[in-house]
Amino acid sequence: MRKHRLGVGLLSAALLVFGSIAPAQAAGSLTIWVNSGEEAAYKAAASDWAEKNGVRVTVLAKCGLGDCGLSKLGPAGAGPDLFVATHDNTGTLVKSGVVTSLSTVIDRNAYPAAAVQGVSFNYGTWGIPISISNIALATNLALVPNGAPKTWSELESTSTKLIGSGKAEVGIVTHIDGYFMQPFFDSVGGYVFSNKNGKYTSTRNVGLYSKDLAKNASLMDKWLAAKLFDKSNTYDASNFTNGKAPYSIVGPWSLAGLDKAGIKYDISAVPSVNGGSARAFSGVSAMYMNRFSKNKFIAKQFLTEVVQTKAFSKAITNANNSFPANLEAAAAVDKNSAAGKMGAYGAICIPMPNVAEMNSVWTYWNGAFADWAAGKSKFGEAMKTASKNLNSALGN
Amino acid sequence: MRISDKGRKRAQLSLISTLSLLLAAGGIKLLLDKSWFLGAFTLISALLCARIYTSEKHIPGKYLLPGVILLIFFHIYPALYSGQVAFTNDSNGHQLTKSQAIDAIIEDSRIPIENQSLTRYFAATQKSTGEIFAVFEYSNKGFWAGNSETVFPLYKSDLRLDLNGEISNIREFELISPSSYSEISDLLQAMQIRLPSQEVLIPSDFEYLEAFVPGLVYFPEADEIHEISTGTIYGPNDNGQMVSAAGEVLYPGWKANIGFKNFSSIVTNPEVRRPLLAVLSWTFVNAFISVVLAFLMGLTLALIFNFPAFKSKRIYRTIFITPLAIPSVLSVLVWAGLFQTSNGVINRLFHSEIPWLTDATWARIAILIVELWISFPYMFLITTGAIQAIPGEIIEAAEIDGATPFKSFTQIKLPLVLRTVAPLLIASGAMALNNFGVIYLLTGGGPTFSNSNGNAGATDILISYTYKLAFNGQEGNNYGLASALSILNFVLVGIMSIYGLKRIKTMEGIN
Repeated sequence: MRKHRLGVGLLSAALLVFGSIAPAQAAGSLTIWVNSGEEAAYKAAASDWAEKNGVRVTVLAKCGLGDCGLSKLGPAGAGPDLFVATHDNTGTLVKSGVVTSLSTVIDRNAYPAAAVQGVSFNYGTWGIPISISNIALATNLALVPNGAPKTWSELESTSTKLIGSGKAEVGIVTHIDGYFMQPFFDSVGGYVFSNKNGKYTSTRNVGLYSKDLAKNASLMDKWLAAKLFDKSNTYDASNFTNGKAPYSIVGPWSLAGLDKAGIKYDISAVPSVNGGSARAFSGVSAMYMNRFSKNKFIAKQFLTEVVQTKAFSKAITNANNSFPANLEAAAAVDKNSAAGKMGAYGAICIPMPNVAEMNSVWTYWNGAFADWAAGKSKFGEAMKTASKNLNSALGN
Repeated sequence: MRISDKGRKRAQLSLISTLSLLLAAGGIKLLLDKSWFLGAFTLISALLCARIYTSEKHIPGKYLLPGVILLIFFHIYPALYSGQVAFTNDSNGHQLTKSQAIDAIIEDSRIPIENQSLTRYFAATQKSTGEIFAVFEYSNKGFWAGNSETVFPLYKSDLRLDLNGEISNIREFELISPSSYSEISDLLQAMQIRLPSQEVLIPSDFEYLEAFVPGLVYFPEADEIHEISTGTIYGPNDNGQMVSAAGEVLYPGWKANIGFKNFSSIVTNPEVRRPLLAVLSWTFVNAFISVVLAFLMGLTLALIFNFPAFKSKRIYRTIFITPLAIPSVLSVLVWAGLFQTSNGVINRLFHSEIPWLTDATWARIAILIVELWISFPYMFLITTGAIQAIPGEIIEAAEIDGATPFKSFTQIKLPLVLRTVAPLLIASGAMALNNFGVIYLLTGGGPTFSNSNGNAGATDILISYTYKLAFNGQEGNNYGLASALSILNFVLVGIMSIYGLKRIKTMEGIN
């Protein structure tokens, strides 16, 4: 008898405790996951709307690269209502079935066509673009008084002269991997998947070892030997800020560091060896909706009334130095600022593919760059092997 | 005396009841989250805690209970769980249940009707059934009442409209006041009304419906999905996907039991097998070399500091043991800095340009150096102990018999030391097979093989490769395969340990 009383008493007491510690299921609440370091900006940008509508908005820094773990957490009911990811995850997210189509929410006219294309996959459009970011060329004006190079030969001769005179140790500070080398890769005629004006046509046609690339591959070997790229493949930003390298490949995330170092620099497009500009990858940072969200109506309202506005895009991009996706906000950016110049280059960049097949591409492509930098193979051979392996992995 | 006893009893009781209450509350929360095993287990632990610690009996239980509960929580449950996962296709794109996956496939195939006029709806309860319906007028096709299960037309005579043309009364229905829509928001957010004319209407907020044209239709009886435009039929395969006869796959897939496929793919799938052979051999080579090197270095130091002529031994011994006192995470991170190619201290010191962490061979050497650094103090300690335990008379006797110092070392000291430390060497070897920390922190398993899609690298050991398969988002997480590999890892380490211990038994003549 005593035993029973103990058990029953314990259970009922536990229920009481549980009742008081369990979070209330608030109807008017919204949880948003964003990249770490950006939560304050999102929180501030959402606060007016939250107060007006009586919605409790919780912003958590739970996203970084990739899909924020949503593929696992979403179905388990542990995900947020909305989350921020870059557009290249769109294919993976859709194939995992963890995002909701926002085709009827997005205002297509408010964004560049390429950005909308980036967050579209199969039948739907899945994200609301917030910012566009891409790498660009930074020129150290103390070493290169003439400013950003207009042509590739100008870049090449400036670098070799400075290295030859012992002033510089390396030409361009960059990571030697697919993402950071894409402009040079584009310049010598390589491509990941076939595309036309930035729109991808087929994942069957892999261009890691395209005809043009096969022809121009020796140029890359020449540039590596001439120390245009640092073959140790450690992105040593201090080389650029200490005046030991005239150029650097930088992203919006680098600008704060460059300003802090107090150097004078210019931002420009990466010149192509064929004249004109070589295309880097542009990435769209976008907000996606969890398919398993219990607050879809409020989330949609938030996307329409807040995320799609000029003010929101402006607030977020001011905070992280990237370029606004919203066309009105983009038009208001100072064209001579670093972010403005980066954005101008971004407009002619090629959107990073958003298909799930990119996962395999990165492996082989980055591997080929690493082998090449380590001196294990010539550029052409490395890309030929990568192309062969990639095609077999994709079943082409 | 009695009072303090009573006070202690009370403190005990309140501590026990707080602990049991917290456990029980956690258990209930887990049950509510449909985590049956963990929930039930936590509840049982709560009851056991309350029972055993309030009674005067069960003395052994009082000592064993915390250990047993924690053992089940942190060892047995995870082991059983990953054992179970190893037989599923748990991976990216296979996280949903079958019904969730099919819902997702159907929903994602819908295409919104462009330029549709907005369809206003009202929520109403059907008086006869108590079910909740959305009542609306759809373009020019009249009034309808519908929910996810059924839809039917309403006669205009059943409705009364107010001055704004909005529905104010419906026969057989009771309108729900918009102010209480938030109470049925879960239901409204999940509602999908399928009109006989094929369009699907879905509430987009508390006022309007959005109209879609379906692309795919699911037939539950046949377990088939039909594509409306082409007539293609998709059926389930045994990998948790809907596939057409031509092999076209619909995404997402669902989590399915796939039997021994994960295990067989270790052998049959070239993408898995190719890196695995290299990874496996490095796992064993790394464990063997690192233990042997550490032992040799420890032994040498121990012998040197054992010379009677050596001055201020204590200080030197203390210095050589310090690496043991520094958390290995810290020392690995410091080493990673030292090994940097262009700015690292080591390359600067030797004016070299050795690609320590980016070249396969050098990265392996770097790993071995760091492992040596971390583990030699331990070997130094145990060999010092073993040497000092050798009775001085034996050595003396050997000297009298005319043994050279070298002979007395190889024939007397070494065998005696080995006998003592052999079990520890075996244990170190088994631990080194799972030496995840150094590899993860120093090289991350890299440099990656350019021919592997598993992201495996030259310094990956089995457990770090498993980790990559399971959690390296870029490669698409494959928890099922990773679990299968971790079982393989467990078996290998187990065999090694059993074999080693058997050898020691015969060596030491213990039965």
